[in-house]
Amino acid sequence: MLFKKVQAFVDKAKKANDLLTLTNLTQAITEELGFDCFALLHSPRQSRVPAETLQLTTYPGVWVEMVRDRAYWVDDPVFAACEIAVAGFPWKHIPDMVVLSERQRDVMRVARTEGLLDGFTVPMPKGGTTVGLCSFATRRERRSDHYGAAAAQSVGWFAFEAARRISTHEPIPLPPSAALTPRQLDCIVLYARGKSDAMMGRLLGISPKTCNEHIEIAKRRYGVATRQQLLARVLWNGQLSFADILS
Amino acid sequence: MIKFVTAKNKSQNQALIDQMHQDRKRVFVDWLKWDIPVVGDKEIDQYDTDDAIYIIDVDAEGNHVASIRLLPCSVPTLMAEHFADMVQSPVPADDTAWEMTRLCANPNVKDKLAQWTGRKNITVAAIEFALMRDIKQLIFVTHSSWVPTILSVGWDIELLGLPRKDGTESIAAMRINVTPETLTLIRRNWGVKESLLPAEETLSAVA
Repeated sequence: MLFKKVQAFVDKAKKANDLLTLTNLTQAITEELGFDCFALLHSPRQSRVPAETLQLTTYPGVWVEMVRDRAYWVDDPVFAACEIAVAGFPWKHIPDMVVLSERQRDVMRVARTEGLLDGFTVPMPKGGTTVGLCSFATRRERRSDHYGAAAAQSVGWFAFEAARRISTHEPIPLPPSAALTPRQLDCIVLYARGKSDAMMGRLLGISPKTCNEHIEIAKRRYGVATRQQLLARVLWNGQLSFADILS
Repeated sequence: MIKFVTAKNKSQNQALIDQMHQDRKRVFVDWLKWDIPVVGDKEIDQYDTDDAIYIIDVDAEGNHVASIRLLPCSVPTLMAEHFADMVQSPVPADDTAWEMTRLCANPNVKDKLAQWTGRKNITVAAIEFALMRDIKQLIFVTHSSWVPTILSVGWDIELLGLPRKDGTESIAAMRINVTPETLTLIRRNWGVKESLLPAEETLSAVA
């Protein structure tokens, strides 16, 4: 019975004392439930973990690197869907849940070509915001399966809780969030809204060169090479929220 | 301040109980649109019996801040009669297991932090009550969206069965295994320094 499998996982996850053991346990139940791999992550705002830290994952390495290097998670439609989901959701429901941007559709296309064809995501809401998620992915299309979904939901909850418990004993060393000035943040918001340096300057009443300098200094403070990486870090650390950019 | 109200001391606390039923109507019927019985401006159902124990957090003026209803599993419960399909792990039908229902905060308390404190206080008081009465399990049904928050308390808690849909919502049936450590843990996590058990006048109502 599916619930018995879930219970057996929960009992073992409660006793796991390190993240490697938990990863192996979660991968085993992931396969038992008919998925190929999983990813469990804490949301930026809560954990203050840098963008490149996927807490636990058995996703294809290529995808993990791409998410890290191209800051894909900023546009990951799964994150967007988590904000409005009341419970776990199959990925095929995402287009009905959120209006996807071209970039978000692109992320989904790339995910498919990298072997994340179908999946199910369990959002972790807390206090009105999403503090993390646990996704289960497959390399092939899945039939919709009510009980499988309920089981994945349950496993996601307890895996996430076990990771939280273990992590409080095993803190990940975090680079501190860099101090940015209000002006630098203004420029990053306008960049995120797609403004050129010239337009940014006009809106802020400063020269385009000064805008570029503000962003360059912010990039140096974060030790990143590109504006995209900077944006990812600033969002991840909670210095700016999506609302700041989208409103 | 926490009060325990039962059949024994209900008449002395009638105004408070009325307020609780009114707030329950506003929260569960008017706001959450649950299809449950209403008596005038109060939400009262077939489980509001003499067996029920209400744990109520009251403010300095004696007004309802937050409350919860407890019923022993030796009498008819919502879990046994309405959510039996969700229970795949047996629950003893005696008074070592109690059901918690109708966790409700006064919607007029605008300060979300005060509401949250009220909810935490009645939860801590429920654990203290369980330890006092040698209750081993507290069972309840919750919205799935609350589960990560509930799990993150770190207590010994498990699912009674797989979660399922309930209208547009998703719900889960759960059990807290109550031990003295449970109390130590939630007191530490929630910064509760001392016992929240009420003064003698309402404590004797559950003796």
